[in-house]
Amino acid sequence: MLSFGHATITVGYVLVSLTLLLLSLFSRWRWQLKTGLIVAVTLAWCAVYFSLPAMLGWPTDRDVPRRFNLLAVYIQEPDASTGKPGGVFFWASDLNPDADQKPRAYRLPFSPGFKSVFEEGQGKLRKNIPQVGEAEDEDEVHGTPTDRLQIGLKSVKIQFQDAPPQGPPSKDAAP
Amino acid sequence: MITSATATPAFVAAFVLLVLLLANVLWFTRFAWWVKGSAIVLVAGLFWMSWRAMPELLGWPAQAGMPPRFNVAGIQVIEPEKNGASKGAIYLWVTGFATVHGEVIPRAFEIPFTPELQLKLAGVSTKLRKRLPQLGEVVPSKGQHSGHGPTAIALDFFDMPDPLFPER
Repeated sequence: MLSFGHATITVGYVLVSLTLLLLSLFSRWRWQLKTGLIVAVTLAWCAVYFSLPAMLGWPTDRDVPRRFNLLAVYIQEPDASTGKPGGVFFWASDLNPDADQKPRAYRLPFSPGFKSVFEEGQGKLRKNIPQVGEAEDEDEVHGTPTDRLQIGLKSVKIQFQDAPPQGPPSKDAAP
Repeated sequence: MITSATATPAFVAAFVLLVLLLANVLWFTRFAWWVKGSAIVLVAGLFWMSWRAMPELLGWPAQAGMPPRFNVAGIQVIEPEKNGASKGAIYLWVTGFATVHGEVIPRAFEIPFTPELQLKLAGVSTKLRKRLPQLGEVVPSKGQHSGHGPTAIALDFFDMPDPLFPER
């Protein structure tokens, strides 16, 4: 799976737009218009550079890890008066040792089933019982996509269990 | 300054400009067909790369843009390693305040580890476990931040004021 960071997008945008700008300068437009293009492209560079960090931190509705350490839960009930669909948000770190260990925020569509499962997990977290989540794809479809980006996403089934107690380090382990 | 609300329109506008530049090259210049074809391939490649990258970026903690006041939804503290391999980090998952029609969506932030903040957050964690909602406040400091790379900020935390508690 290819993965591109926001630095790659910014650099890619600058290179492509600079190439197009240089080519555009050979058009027969008046110099005032060409100057305007240069200013617009410069502003666009700033827009891309500053807008990408502002998009970080918000939850994703993709790539829920197979096994994860649940850190926090936030449940937003649907609101009939505003038409907001609500959601079940959770914050977790992937237990796959090859994955990035930073916590990542996820969003699942609101459903009574998810609410019940996550409320139980949250309750145990409050009692200081760490929770390990396990997600698996589910064939049954829950709800309909609320936006274009959700088309093709698979439903997931999530269950929690108490994390196994961490024993003392092995005597054979390196210090 | 670009905020979370204006980030997506600004990003889209930048790519619309790219399409306009491409149209200008295709229709108003006399380059050979292979130059114009290469321009189309370049733009298409960038669009594809960005389309693939955007979902990958979501969910990971932001390094700037923390709201001045927030509700604490989650805390994760990674202590620095003694051998200096890791400087540690503090991750906060916070929500803004609900408005009449607004949806409250939590956002994750990464800030540099400091022992002072770790101490404060230990108390906050304990209170959260006791179901005492915690408010956070960014202590204003001088200097601007571009959003690239974590920056140290001072935070204060308070119990949620009583009038905001729902009646039992």
